[in-house]
Amino acid sequence: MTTLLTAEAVSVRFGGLQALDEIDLTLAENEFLGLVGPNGAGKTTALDVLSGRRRPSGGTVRFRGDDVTGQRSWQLARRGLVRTFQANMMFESRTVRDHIRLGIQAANGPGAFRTLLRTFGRDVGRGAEVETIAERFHLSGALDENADELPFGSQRLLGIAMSVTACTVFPGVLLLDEPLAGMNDVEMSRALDIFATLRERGFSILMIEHNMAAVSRAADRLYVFDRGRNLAEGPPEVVLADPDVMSAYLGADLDGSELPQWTGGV
Amino acid sequence: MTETISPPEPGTARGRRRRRIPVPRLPLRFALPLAIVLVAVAPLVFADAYRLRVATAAGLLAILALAMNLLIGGPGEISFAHGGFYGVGAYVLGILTVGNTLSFWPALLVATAAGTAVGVAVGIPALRTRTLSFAIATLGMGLFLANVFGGWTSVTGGSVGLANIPRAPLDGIPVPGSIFVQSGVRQFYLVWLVVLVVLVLNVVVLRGGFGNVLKSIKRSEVLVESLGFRPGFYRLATFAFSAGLAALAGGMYAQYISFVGPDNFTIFTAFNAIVVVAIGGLGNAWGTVATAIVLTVVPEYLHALDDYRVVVFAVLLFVVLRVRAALGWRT
Repeated sequence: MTTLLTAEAVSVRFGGLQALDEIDLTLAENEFLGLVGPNGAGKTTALDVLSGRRRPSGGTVRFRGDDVTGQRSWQLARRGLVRTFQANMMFESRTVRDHIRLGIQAANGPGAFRTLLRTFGRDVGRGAEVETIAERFHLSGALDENADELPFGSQRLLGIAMSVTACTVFPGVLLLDEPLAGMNDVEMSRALDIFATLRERGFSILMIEHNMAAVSRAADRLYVFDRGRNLAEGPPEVVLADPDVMSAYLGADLDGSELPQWTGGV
Repeated sequence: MTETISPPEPGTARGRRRRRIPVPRLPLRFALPLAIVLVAVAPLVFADAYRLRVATAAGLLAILALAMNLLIGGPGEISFAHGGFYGVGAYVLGILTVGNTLSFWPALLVATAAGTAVGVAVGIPALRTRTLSFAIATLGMGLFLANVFGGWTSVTGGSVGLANIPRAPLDGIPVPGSIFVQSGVRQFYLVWLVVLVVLVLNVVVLRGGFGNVLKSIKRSEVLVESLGFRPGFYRLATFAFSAGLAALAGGMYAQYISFVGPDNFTIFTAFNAIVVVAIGGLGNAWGTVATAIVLTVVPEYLHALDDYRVVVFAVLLFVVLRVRAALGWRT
């Protein structure tokens, strides 16, 4: 398997806080990676660096062999690397149709002049393509509803639909930031089915997720981050049995000798 | 009486959604022919030179307001520099045609291009900011441009301005209204032809794919950028386009009035355009044109009220915004 995306000794510093401390990560073609770790481990920061939203203070990011450190997210998206966001980040009071239309427009070419020329032609928002995509992501009934008024699970699916539609360079990379959070069982199984389909279509996926059962079922490999460092890496069953990983999640050594002392008030 | 706490209804977040009356939207293929007919017959209805002058002035305000509407309805920014761009168009056209450097039509083209270029120059630094900061940044640029018009005496004529700007060469073009009134009917048609063109541009751009990107940028630049769009470039292109249209309006104004002076291109000129767009519906091109007409015509009937006209406008603005809110029209 060829390597698509790598982070080599990537560091990010926010003022006095070392958010990422020489993180290493590789994503191979058509691989499904899980990225887990306690809150504040730097998972989202790592995703921000990989997707070009944040410039690292040190280290190198490579995509398809090219050094893409410091490239902006629009540049990476045009090279076939797209992401979703942790919060439900929908365009306020814009319909599901508008969102999917934006994804199609990005696929048709995200340049301003091309978009302006196409504006005088056929409206992609009224075409059959929108319906097809909506159906694939279980959004058919909600096409003309405001996206920010949808249930959270549907908002997540819409976010994935947009980024996947926008990604036209294959094999594409999809970075997901807690896509399953707030989903009920039905939505979660739908989402996991969609991920499986995307892999069949050639996507490589990196998913941050707190739901251990789901992530260990879906992912080929897990990365565990703790306090901005690589803690462990490997197949889910091996990683989750690792005593270091367990202690990171419990916040103390397993014998309890370093359990944090409660010093606060009531 | 028992109350049960029910989960949010499916399809709603937190279950609180107000029913809204949709903003009426007439497709362009019906609305445009109607508007063309209205413009065509208007001089036949008010067949006197005074009313025709008022209607032409309304058209000039409409073009400037439509330029602003593109910016407010798209990326959602408010610019106080548009009075300056309006002035750039007016002065460039005036300077070129007074000295006979160029004939009218090429001069109008150069004036529009100059406004676009100044828009790029102003936009590159100003667009680093957003919303309120952007309004203040453009306010500074607007003041600066107004000072240039008043102070660069060798080019702009300073406080004296430029007089005897030749009008667009329209004589001899046969128009239907000229049967009834001779004076000013061609100017009326020229100005309103430009209004219709700019109106169609507004509607097509804002409703179409480009507008979809702009409206998305207004809400989340990060999300739009993650799909491969360059939000900064879209915002700059829109701002420059809008500045160019404002300069076009300025060129039309200069040839119609035949005179330009620094008092006509201040931040208050931009403010007027913003008020028209605000009452018209923030991004609603048809509403913008309708408001430009109302705000030009109504004062003509209120001369007796003198300075108290302002009170009438305040009440009008309040009523319009209240009604819009009651209908649940968000913009």
